[in-house]
Amino acid sequence: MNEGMKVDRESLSVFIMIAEDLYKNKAYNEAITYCKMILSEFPDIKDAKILLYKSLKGLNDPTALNVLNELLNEYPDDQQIKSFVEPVKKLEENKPEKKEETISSVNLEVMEKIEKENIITANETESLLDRSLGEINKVNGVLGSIIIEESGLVVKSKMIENLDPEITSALFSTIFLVCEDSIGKTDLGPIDRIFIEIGKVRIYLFKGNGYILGIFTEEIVKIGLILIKAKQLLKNIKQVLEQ
Amino acid sequence: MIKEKIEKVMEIGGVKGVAVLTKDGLIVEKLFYETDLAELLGAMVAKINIEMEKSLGKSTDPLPIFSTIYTDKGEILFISKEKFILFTLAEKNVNIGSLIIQIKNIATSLQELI
Repeated sequence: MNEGMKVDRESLSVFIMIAEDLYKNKAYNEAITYCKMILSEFPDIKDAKILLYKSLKGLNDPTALNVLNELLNEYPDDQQIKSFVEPVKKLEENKPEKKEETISSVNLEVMEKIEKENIITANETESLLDRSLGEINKVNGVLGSIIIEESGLVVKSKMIENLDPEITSALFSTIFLVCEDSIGKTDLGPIDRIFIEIGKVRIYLFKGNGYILGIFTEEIVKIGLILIKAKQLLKNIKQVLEQ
Repeated sequence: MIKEKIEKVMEIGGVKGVAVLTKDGLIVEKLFYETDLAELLGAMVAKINIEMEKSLGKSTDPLPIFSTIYTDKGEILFISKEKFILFTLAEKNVNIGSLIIQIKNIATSLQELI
């Protein structure tokens, strides 16, 4: 997208406008890229730094705190920057014994609090996974689904009663191991997915972020929909399980 | 006779090779642009098939195991019947539907020969 692009004085305002637009559209990662491009050429642009802070905050990135600290040091009297720490000040008023603390250190506390709130508990993880598998199982023709760890341990399963999740997970993990082992010796690249058809049952296996998702279906099923849902789940699974 | 039958698979655009194997991975007949790849993939397919049969039950002529492995640069399709495995390697842009139908048909006609 931005390969070979260079920020100069004339195009600076355009770059900031693009970054602002991206931020408004919640494309935080892209906004960060643009802000970093601007700041790499002109590190003193306040607007870019503020946008970078807001975008990082939008992503709950802890490095947002460093950017805010930099802003506070560089522009201690700026009202807009001060407004970022307003909620922090209100907290401070309720705790008179800690009044001598600097704004940045209080901000650190707030960031830690945000981080703590973002940690998903075991119950929440389970219900999230349950909901995700339920979503897949809702597709017409889907008989059951299972998430397993690369080594074969069951993470979560929602399967038909006569299928043992432990045996199934062992099978899926072995299939992937054998396939990866052999395909690694060829130049076919990494495995995207595996499809198995036996009798009137189909098994779709997807792998991503170190986890395997197995979906059992009937003969006739909307495979496109399953594919989309499976990819979505695997994209978010690492975040859910390893946060 | 077997060669004539598997030649039909090679006629589909994007197919890089096709082979018939015994259940233990020995090649019965092959048509491959890269001959070394046939041996390697044949061994792999046989190994995967053994693992599948261990868990899913032995494949038979009326109830074969059909699998597709989608990789970044190609697709491996194989069907395991009672006495043999028919496998093919294809490019990503292959007409997968047509290839699947052709493989299943050829496997059925091969089971009378092997």
